[in-house]
This record gives sequence, structure tokens and C-alpha cells, in this order.
Amino acid sequence: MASAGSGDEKAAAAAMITLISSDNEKFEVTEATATLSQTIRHMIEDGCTDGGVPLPNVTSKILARVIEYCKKHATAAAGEEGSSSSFSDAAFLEVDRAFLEELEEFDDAFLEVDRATLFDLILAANYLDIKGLLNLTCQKVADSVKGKTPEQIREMYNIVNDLTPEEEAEIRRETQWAFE
Amino acid sequence: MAPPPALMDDLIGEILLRLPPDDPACLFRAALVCKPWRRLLSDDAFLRRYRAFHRTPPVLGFFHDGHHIFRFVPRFFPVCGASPIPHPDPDCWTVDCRHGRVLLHSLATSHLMVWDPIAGDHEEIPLPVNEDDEESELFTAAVICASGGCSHLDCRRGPYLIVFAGADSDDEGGVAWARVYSSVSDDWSSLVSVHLGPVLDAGDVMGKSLLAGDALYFTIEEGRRILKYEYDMVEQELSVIKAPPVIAGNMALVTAEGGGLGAAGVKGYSLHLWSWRIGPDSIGEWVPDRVIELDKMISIGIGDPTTKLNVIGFAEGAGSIFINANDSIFIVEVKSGTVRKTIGKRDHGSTTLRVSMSME
Repeated sequence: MASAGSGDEKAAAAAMITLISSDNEKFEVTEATATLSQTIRHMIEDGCTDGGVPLPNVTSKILARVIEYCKKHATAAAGEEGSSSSFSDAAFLEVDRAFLEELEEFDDAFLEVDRATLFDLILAANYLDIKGLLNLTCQKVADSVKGKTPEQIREMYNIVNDLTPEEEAEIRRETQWAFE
Repeated sequence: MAPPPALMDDLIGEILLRLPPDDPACLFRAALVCKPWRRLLSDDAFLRRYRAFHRTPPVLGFFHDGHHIFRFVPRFFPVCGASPIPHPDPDCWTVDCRHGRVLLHSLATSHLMVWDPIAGDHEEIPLPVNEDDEESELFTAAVICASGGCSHLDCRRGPYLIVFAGADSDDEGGVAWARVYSSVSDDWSSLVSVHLGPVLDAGDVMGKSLLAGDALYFTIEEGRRILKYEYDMVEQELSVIKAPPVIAGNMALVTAEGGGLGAAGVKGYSLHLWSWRIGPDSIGEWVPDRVIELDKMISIGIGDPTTKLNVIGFAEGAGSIFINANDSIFIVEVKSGTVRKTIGKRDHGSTTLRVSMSME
């Protein structure tokens, strides 16, 4: 890798952003980490991050987790951009695969949280516009719904059944095969 | 533990969007959770997004006809759980299915039926006649979407065409003829025909179809030859091309890489893929593409000399080849080369399989 590239990375590392959670806790993160959030990226582009970025919708507990995710995935993004190897390079592909596996393991472990936290992460990922995190968390919920009965789904996610018995009977009649 | 916070509708949409398309029952069960979920899952915009998100329409299941004496009973085998979808006529056989529609032939009325298995609607169309104003005993047909530039993700309510190919014998052997029906004009086109020469008395003289590019291909004589039908709404042309060097009766027409005509056949425990290429001299020939070793992928009595692998069908669009081995049906995904087993169990003696796709 060219030395100029390393210099750029150092410069990027030097640019720090302060994120402020709803309970007023401050988190110092690199710009590379913060800009995984499109919302924050736009704020940086508009030059409104001096004095910190207040995030009134995100608690410190959730923000800490979100930052953990962004740090890991920002490293992944930097690795991809920084490499001059072509994708056809076998050695590069090998390294790439190992890294992707590691990232996948990280994601799996990251998702080992209770349902309330998972939903809070979805809300935060949506608010901060972090596509990867939104995809990851929504897929986790979708996977958990798979193979469950409507009753189990309602119980899991604290959803009130507001369908009338008539509506319910109608849907069941139309799609009886799905419940066998 | 605190209950999960409530999510806005658009976030619930993000979750439901990620429900697996290979398990349609899951979508129906989710529709019973509450009103907002039901509303979303029956919303056209959401369903369009769902199809776009998952790109290829899911294979809902496949039809295969249990072979009884003088009677074929089409049955719908969903690929993932669930039970048969009732069909409109118990006395019929499945001729073709594509783009969310199923083409049946009713033995009682001798009509063709275009059936939408998801909505349950069907339309009846009288069989076309040959030049002597007679119906052909041997025939095959294909149903295709008639909308130009269609992605075929949501066109089952739109206009369609039926390409009908019959075979009769004449003094010189056999003659194949074709006519096309348009749901818009509700009429059959003029007739186009080609001489076949001597025709082998095979079990499946007029076989299954493949839509590739601007042409439809039918296997004839159990895959010993291929009938090509080209259409452009103005002119139609019928011709015969040779089959690749695979065992007759154990091959299926498949979409080759690049979207053209291809074929898949089993030799021993290997699945051979071929593609039809037109050379610089405008002469077409079969070129071997790939070999997928099935004995390494299918975890059943391989080595047992009674194990026989048969190619029994292909799902266009999804790119899945259906293979029968020891009464089980396996699906080979051509792109990834992966193999999975379906729950369907093949009846002894049945040789045909039609795959239905599309989702709603």
C-alpha cells in the first residue's frame, strides 16, 4: 500500500466527532465510524457537528452498541477501499473471505441481545440511517418470525391482536393450507 | 424484561420484507398477527417491493401428474410444506406452467384451461384444429405472458399467449404444426408446420417447453429432437433442431448462461449442462458447459446400483433443475451448483413435471 494512503488514514483518524446520547453521555468516534450513519454524514457535510451531535432518540446503552457495530464495519470498509489488489487476485480473495467470515461472526454475536434491545437497535438504525445495521436487525426479527404461529409472534413482540374474529376467520379460510 | 418498543409501520415493513420467499406460508401467518401487518402484507406497493427485494420470483411448487390408466391427476406439490391447492377440474393433466399461470387440458371437455392457482380463477379455451380441421391426439403447449419487456414478477392477471404444437402423421412420416392463441384477441392464429420425417413411437412425443429469448422450444420424441417455435406477433416459424448428446428421456431443456437455449442431462451420477451456440457459419451446435457431480451432493444411496437419477423438470427464471432419485425429488440450483431435497415424493411411473412460479 502506498504511504500516501496511510497518511490519509491518519488524517481521517484524527477527525473526531462527538455523539451525545439522549441521557447526555458523550461518545468520541472517528469520522470514518460516524459516517456509516447517513444522517451524521449529512450533518458533517453541512458542517453542523461542532460542539457534538445530539441524538435525542438514542440512549447511551443503545448508542454504545451502535458505535460498536459502526467501528467494526468502518474498518471493513476502510480495508476494501485501501487495498490496491484487484478482486481477481486469489490471495486477496482469500484474505477477503477470512475477513468476511470474521465480520459475519461479529454480526452474529452482535445480535445476541434481548428483543427489546433488538427493537431499540432497529429504531436507532432507522433514525441514524445505517443501512447495514437496519438490514441486519430486521433480518434477525424476520428470521425469528419464521415458522411461528400468529399467536407466538404476538406474544414474542408484544403485539395486540386487533383483528375481529370475523376477519381472522376469513383470512384462515382463504389460506387454510398455511396453517396445517 | 421491558416489552419491545412499538415500531412504526415502515419499520414493520422492513421486517416483513425480509420474510423468506421460499416459505409462502410464513407470509400468510404473519397476515394474521394484527391489522397493520395484514394491511401491509396485502398492500400492492409492499408486494411490489417484496418481489423486487427478493428479485427472483419464488418457486411455489411444482405439478406432476400421477400416471393412472387413462387418467392423469395433476397435483400441486408445494416446495416447502403446505398442502395441495385445489385445481379446477379433477379430470385433467398439466400441460405447462409459467409466469404464475398453469395450462391444463381437461379430458372431460377436451378444452385447454388457463388456471391462476393463487386466485383460483380459470379460463377455458377450445383446442385448435389442424389443416384438416381435426384435433391432434399428440400435442403439447406453452403458456406465456404477452406483455413486452415484462419482469414476470406480477403479470399473472395480464394478457397471455398459448403456443400450441400438435403432431400428426402423413405419408412421409410426421408433421408438427403450431398455432398461437392470444387472450387479447381470444382467437387462434394461422397455422405453421414442419415435416418431422419418421417419428419414433416414444412415450412423450410432444414434450415440455422452454422459453429462451424470442423462441419457445419443445422436446419431441422424449428429447431426441427439439422443436423450435419463433414468434414476433406478425410472423411465426417452426423448425427442428437436434438434441445434445445426452440420454433421450433423461434430459430437460434449461436456460443456458446468457439466457439462450440449454439442456441438462444425467449420465451416471453427473449432471451435464450444454448450451446451443450459433457459429460464424450460422450453424448451431451443442457445446458442453459444465458438469455437476451429483453423487457428491445428494446424500442418498449412491453406490447402490438401484439408484437412478432422472432429470424431470426445470424452473425457468429460478434456474432450478429438478432431479428424481430413488423416489425423492431434488432441486439443483444451476448458478450456485447447490442441491436441496424437496418434500415431494414422485409417484411410480410418472415422467413429467411442470414447475410453477410467481408469488402473491
